[in-house]
Amino acid sequence: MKCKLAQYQLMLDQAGEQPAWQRRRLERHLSRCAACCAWSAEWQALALATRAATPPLTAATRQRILDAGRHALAEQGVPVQAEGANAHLSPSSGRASRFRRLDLPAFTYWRPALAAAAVLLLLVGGFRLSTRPPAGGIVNWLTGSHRNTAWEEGVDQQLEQMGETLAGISRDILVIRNVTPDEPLPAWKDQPELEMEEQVI
Amino acid sequence: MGQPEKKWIAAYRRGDVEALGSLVEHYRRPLFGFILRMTDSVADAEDVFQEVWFRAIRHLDSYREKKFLSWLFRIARNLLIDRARRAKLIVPLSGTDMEATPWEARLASPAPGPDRLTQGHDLAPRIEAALKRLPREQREVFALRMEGGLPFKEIARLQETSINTALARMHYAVTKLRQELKKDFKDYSGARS
Repeated sequence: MKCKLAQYQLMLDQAGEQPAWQRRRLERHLSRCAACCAWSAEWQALALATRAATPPLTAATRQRILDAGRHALAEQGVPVQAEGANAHLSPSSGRASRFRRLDLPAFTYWRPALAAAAVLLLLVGGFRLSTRPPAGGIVNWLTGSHRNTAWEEGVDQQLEQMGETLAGISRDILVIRNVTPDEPLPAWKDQPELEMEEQVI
Repeated sequence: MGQPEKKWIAAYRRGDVEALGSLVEHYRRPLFGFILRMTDSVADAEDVFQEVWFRAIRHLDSYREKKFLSWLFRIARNLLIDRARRAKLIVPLSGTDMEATPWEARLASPAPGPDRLTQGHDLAPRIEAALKRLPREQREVFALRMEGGLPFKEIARLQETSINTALARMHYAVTKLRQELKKDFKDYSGARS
C-alpha cells in the first residue's frame, strides 16, 4: 500500500468510515511504516488542539436566537409556552437524566427487567399473603418475626371467646334435653340415629 | 436525526422556546467551531451563527434532510459563501477607514502577535493562524471534519464533490499544516516522550 493511500485511509478510519478489511490492511502498513505512524500521531494532535480552542457562545447571541424563535412562533399563531414548562426537555446527559425521560432508550432497556421484577414481587408478596396476612408491621412480616404479635394474641382471644360460646351452647342444648350437666351422658351407641333427609342437589 | 433533536423540534413547534434553546446548545460546539474557522473573528462567527439559526427557524417547516446538523452546516456554508462574495464587492475608500478608527485601536491589534505565534507550546493559536492561510475549500474540509465531526461522505455531499476530492483536500490541508507547524510537532512529540 502506498503511503498516500494509507493516509487517506487513516482519515477515513478516524471518521469511522473504514471497512474492517481495509482497516486490517492499514494496520499491516502502519506496523512497518514509521512515516505514516508519525503522520497519524500528528493528525491526532491537530484534531485535539483544534477542538480545544472553541470559545463559548455569548449569552446575548443565544438570547437573540430565542427571541427570533419566539417571534417566528408568534407569526405562525402558535402560543408560546411559559418558561420552565418543559424543563424535562433540557439538554442533560447521563443515565439518571435519561432514565427520568421515560420514553428514551435507557428506560427501553430497563423496561423488561422492571416488569420481571414487578411480577416476581407480586408472586412473592402473594405467596406471603396467602400463608400469613401482614400484621404487626411489614418489617416483622418480612423478617418472619411476626409470631407472638398483637394480631396473634387477638386471634387467640377470639378463639377463646368462640370456645366459651360453644361451651355455652352445648350447656343450653343439655338444658333443653333435660339433662343436667353433672349427669353422665348416655353412651353413644344408645343415641337414636338421626334420620337424615336426602337432599337433592 | 436522533431522538432528542426530534423531540426538541416537535416541542418548539408546539410553542416551547426552551426546546429551541436546547437545540442551539446541543449543536453549538460543532457549528460554532466550524464557523469560527471560516471567519476572521469571534464577533463575525457569532453573527453568522445567529444568522444560521434565524434561517433555520424560518425554514424549519421545509426541513427534510435526515441529519439536522448537516442541514445546519449547509445553511452555514451558504451564508459564509454569500458573505465572502459580499466582502469581495466592498471596496474600501482610501483613507476613510483609517480616519474613522481611533488611533488606540490602530496601535493595538487583538489578533495574536508574532511573539505569541512563535513562542510557547500552545498549538491552538498557531493552528488557527496556519488555517487562515489555507485555501478556502481545504480549510472548509478541515473545519467540517475536525470541528463539525462530519464524515467525509457528508462533507463531499455538502461541497458537491466526490469523497476522493474531499479526502485529497483534507490531505493537502494536513500536509500544509504539518509543514507550517513542523517545529511545534517536534516539541509536541518531544514533550510527550
